[in-house]
Amino acid sequence: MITKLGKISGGQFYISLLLTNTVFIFTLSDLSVAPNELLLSLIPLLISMAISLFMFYFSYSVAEKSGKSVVEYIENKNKALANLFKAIYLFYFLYSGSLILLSYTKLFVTSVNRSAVMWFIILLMCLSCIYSGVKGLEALSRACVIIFAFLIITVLLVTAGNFTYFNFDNLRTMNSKENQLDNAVFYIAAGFLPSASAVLINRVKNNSFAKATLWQGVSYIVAFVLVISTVLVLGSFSITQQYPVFSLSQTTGFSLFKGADGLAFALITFVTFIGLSLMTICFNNTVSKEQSKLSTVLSVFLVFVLSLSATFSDAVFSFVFNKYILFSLTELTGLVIPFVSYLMKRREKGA
Amino acid sequence: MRKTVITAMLILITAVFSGCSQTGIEQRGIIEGVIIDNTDKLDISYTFSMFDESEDSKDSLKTIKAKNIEDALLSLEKATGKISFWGQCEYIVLSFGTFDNAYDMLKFFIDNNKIPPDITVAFGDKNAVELLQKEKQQPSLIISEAEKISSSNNKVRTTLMQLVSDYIDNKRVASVCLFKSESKSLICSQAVLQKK
Repeated sequence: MITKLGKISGGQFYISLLLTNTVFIFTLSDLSVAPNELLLSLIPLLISMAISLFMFYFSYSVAEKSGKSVVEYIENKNKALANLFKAIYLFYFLYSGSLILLSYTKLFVTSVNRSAVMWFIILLMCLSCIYSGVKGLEALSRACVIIFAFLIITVLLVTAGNFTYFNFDNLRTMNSKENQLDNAVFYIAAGFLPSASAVLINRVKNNSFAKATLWQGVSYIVAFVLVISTVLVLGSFSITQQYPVFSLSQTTGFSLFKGADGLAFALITFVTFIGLSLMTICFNNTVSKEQSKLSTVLSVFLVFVLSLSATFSDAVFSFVFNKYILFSLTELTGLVIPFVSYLMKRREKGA
Repeated sequence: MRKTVITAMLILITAVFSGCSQTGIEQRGIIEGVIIDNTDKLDISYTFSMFDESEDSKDSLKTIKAKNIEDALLSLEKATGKISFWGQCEYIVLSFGTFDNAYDMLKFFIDNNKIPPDITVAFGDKNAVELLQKEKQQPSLIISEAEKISSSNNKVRTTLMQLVSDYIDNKRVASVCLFKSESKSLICSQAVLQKK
């Protein structure tokens, strides 16, 4: 079955990207690398936010002037080059999808249920994503608005529920400055805004750069609140924890209510589902101009195979979890390719 | 057809993700607290305060001597025939010694994701530890006593995360809650734990 691709609002698009970024806040341990001063903790976040928006500008600019996504625009100009770029995008979406899925599976088996079988969790998530992938971006973005509300409630609950444990001395005693660069690399790598926009931006109606900046800001405020709360509550203990934000949810308490780890885990399941579905939709958008069941199933199958291989082979596992590969792919898909199309557009305008 | 597939998927997801597993509640040994006496370095004495509906203090306190907590847990599981469950563990009481010893004893709890970082950690003198090993105390008693001390002085470290943070931050000393036994009852006071 083939369905024509519909459009979604800018707010819905940016919310779905915000939720995808949230997966990494909860499931990657790099956030435990906390700064030694409150001001310094803002630096990697602000650097990565500025760089992400700078990278996004090229896709935005091409779409604003031509109404086409980066991939579509290049396809009209040079088919061979477009095919090469498409291959890079497809690889990036498969890689990111596997990373999201494996991060979630790892958290599931280490923190929730040690006896759970990894391949079965991977299979179930993949099956769920076929459904959302087939339903398309419009249905997914509507669900994102509800999950975003759930995210805000959870963040507020976890932060407020830990208020009694806030220890401002922790901000002075944490790690050194050398982790700042590492942190900035991570935040940029985990930002899907430029890469996903390069493929999906033509499906966003009433788009504006201000909207993107606003939602990018919200995304980083959520990350900042969680990182700072983790530092204030757990202090250096967060270094010992594999999932510091998840540990933070365990300490949440209001009188009789104790522990919000169940709530946090539900949220992680939702955002993983959203992230994986979004990658599937991006994959579909890259290969086809219509919503196709075949490309959705194919993308989910490839993510399943890569994730499954990673559970059996250490080499594949470390390949998927290599922060610098993710960073390079993000730079390539979010900056280099959109910049090439931006230059092509400028040259066309000049001619 | 579509509804059937969605229903089947929902049932599968609920069954897997809700934590329904082969181990029933009656097969689990629910640990409420641990008392560790490491005054003898070679043979550490671990007392596990187990949840027991009958509230028989003799049945619910299991003391095992072992080289480390992993070995002690294996022996506990063999003796009770139940799989240990840490999700309800509320306190750890260690025999009073040095900060380094305490950190070594707490390593297992730091790595265990089922144990919340704000679990109560207190210390006991020889008599208090002996009393805790013989008579089961309600977790609420130990927690409330520790909370009393920490509310009177916020520098007192009464949780796992506070104590471990101080150790990682290379603090030479830490104020902790120390239980003493007086006429078969526990009295909590403030004490200073020092690094070697």
